[in-house]
Order: sequence, then structure tokens, then C-alpha cells
Amino acid sequence: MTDRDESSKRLARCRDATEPDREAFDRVRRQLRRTLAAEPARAEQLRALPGPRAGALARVKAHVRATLRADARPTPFALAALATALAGIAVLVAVTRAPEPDAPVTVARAPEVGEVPAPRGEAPAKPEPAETTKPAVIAEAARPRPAVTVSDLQAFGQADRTGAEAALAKLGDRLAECLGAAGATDQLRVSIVVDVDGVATAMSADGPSPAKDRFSSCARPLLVGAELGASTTLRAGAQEQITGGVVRFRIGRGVQ
Amino acid sequence: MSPRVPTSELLAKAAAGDLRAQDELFDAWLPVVLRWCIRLGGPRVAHEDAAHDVFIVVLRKLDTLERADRFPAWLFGITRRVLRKHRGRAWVLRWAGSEVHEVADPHQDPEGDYRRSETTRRVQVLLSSLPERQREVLVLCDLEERTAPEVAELLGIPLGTVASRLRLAREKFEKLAREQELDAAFAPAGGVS
Repeated sequence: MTDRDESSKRLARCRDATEPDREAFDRVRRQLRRTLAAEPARAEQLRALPGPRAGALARVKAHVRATLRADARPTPFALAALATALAGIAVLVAVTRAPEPDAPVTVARAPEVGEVPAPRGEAPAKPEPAETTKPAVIAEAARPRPAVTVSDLQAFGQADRTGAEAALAKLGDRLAECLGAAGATDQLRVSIVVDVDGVATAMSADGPSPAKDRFSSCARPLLVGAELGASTTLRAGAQEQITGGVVRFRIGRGVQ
Repeated sequence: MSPRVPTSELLAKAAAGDLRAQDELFDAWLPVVLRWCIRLGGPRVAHEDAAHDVFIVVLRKLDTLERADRFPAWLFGITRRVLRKHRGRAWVLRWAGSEVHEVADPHQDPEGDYRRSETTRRVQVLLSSLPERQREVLVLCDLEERTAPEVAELLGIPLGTVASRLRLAREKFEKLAREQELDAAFAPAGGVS
């Protein structure tokens, strides 16, 4: 067999090996029909969707502004570079202003006790007030972050709203840390399952991912086991079949 | 074997949403596009998804096609662009650690299927080792057995360029086939005959 024959045979085998089967045609054809049939309906659904709410627009605007502010702020690297440059300039000034080794050194006489040193030349300049030397970044960092708010708190079944409010107020700081660590920019909806004795046994968070998952993993150990209260009136008497309740609320930073 | 070039009436009807005209177009050209996707897309491209996307683009843009006789070249251009997108996506998925989508195979012979798909994959790997321009000419001329003028028109390049690219592609293909022992992939199960 010549090289040419061998090559032709090889190419023919490659052709056969890459030949699609009938099922593949049918699958693609079916999928095309499905896609084409869904297109008008999908367009209709998109048109029927409500426009963005005013709240959502305001949140997006605030987020964009915060990002722009953060971009304008000097980065730690820039600050370090600036500090190095300033230190370099200071060293350079000190070196250039240092007396020559051969030059006569004049030593000022120390004033005797009780002697008032004579004024020399101009009066020493007053130091600048400390506030004016603060870099902008420190002022920015010191700005208080909006407080965490809990809204729409509702209690169902045996759960007690007053108890839940008190428990959440107690956990406020730690929940705020969780919210910050989760990077949540939007409100999160939280549901807590409360047992018959008023202690939380499970919780779940709902909202934009991945903030809700991060918040859940941080807040679950805090919330589960927390004393969220139970209604004593419901627990009394023939209400023993009621085995618990649910507390729902929204949590977010500076939003009501 | 290339199907007949569709008439402008058929294309106009398909563009207007006529299901029968679209079916006719699919019957004639879907096999062609599916082959291009398998042979030119490479082993990581989900060829059925790519073929699907090609036809979605075709039906959306059909009204921009000015001459019906240019349909094959126009279709090839769309396929080439869609395949580039799919290759890029497959590359990203590969580095992102996600699995590339694979179509479930309804066959009953898993071992045979595996062997066949492995052979296909090896051929695809070899073809994708060729530069894109050479791969296109080799696939169109040697695997699809199209004439050089036909390929020149499809790719929009001079006849001489087809010939020179084909010569280079064949040389490289043979060299790679020997290096990668491609013939072993075609041997029947149980040993080389």
C-alpha cells in the first residue's frame, strides 16, 4: 500500500469517526423547535416584568457612588509609596543641610538656671493644629457605618415578638459583624424556627447570593440557641399540640 | 456532499417564521453544520449546542442575507464565529473547573460507545492541533470531499491559497497522525488486526 493510499484510508476513517448520528440531528432539531417556540413567550414575559422599583434604583445609585468614592481614595500601596517618598526627601534635606566635616562647629551655650534665653531671630513657628495634618483616609475610616436595622419583624405560632426583638437587640453587634463580613449590600430576609420553649432551633436567610450564604454560616451559631421567647398564653391549657413558631424579619444596613 | 443551495423564496419564508420552510432548511443544512461543529470545533466544544446556536443566529439574521447563492459561505462564516465563541467558553469552563456539558447518549452499548467516542475525540484532538485555516481546508476538501473551487468560494479565498493551505495541512496531519499513533485508535477492540 502506498503512502497516498494509506493517507486516503486514514482520512476516510477520520470522516467516519466524526460523522454525527441520526439521533444527534433529531436532538438538535427538537431543541431548535423548543427554543424558537419559546422565543415569543420569553419576549412577552420580559415585557411583562415590572420595572425596577425606586428603592432598587436608589440602592444601585448609592452603591455606584460608594464604589466611585472608594476608587478615588488613595490605596494602601499609594500611601506607602507617598510615605517612602516623603522619608526620602527628609533624608535628602538632612544630608544636604548637615555641616561640612571640616567646618567649625558652633555649640550653643546651655542657658543657666534662671536665665531667660535671649530671643534669636524670629519667634518659632506655631505647630500646625493636629486636625489639619490628618490624612483624608483616616477621616473616611472614622466615619460611622450605617447601623444595622431589623425591620418587618413578625412572629407566628408560639413565637413571641417581644422576646424575639429583645434577643435580636442583644445580638445586634454580632449580627452587624456577620452582615459586614458577608458583604451584604441589600436587605436579607431571615426566618427562625422557634421551639416550644422559645429557643431557636433553625434559621435560614434569603437574599442575594453569596451574601445570604455567608451571613447564614456566620449568624446560624448565634441565632440557633438564642432565647427568642414564646407566648405563655398560647402554651397554656389545651394548646399543647402547638409545638413552636416562626420569627421572620429583614436585616440590613441603614435601611428601613 | 453539499446540499442544494436554498432558493431565495425558501429563505424568505424561513425568515418570516414559516415552520415548513425552516424544517426544509434544517433537513438540508443541519447535518452539514453538525459535521462542521464536530470537525472544526475540537473535542471540548459541545457540538450539538453549537449547531443549535448556529441555526438560531441564521434564523435571526436571515433577512440580512442579500443573495441566496451566498448562503453556504454565509452559513460557514456564522458557524466559524459560533465555534470560536464556544471554544472560548469551553476554555474558560476548563480553567474555572466546571464540567463541560455532555449530551446523554441513549445507546445501549456503553463500551462500544466509549470506544467510538474515544476515536472521535482523538481525531478531534488531532484536527484541532492544526492551525485553524489549515484545519478548515483539510476538513472541507479531504473529509467532506468538496472541490477546491467550492472550498475557495466557501472560505472566500483564492484557489491557489486553498491549494497551498491544503498541502501544508496534509503534511502536518500525516506527521501528527504518525506521532500520535492515530491508526491504533481505528483498530477494532481486542487488538490491532
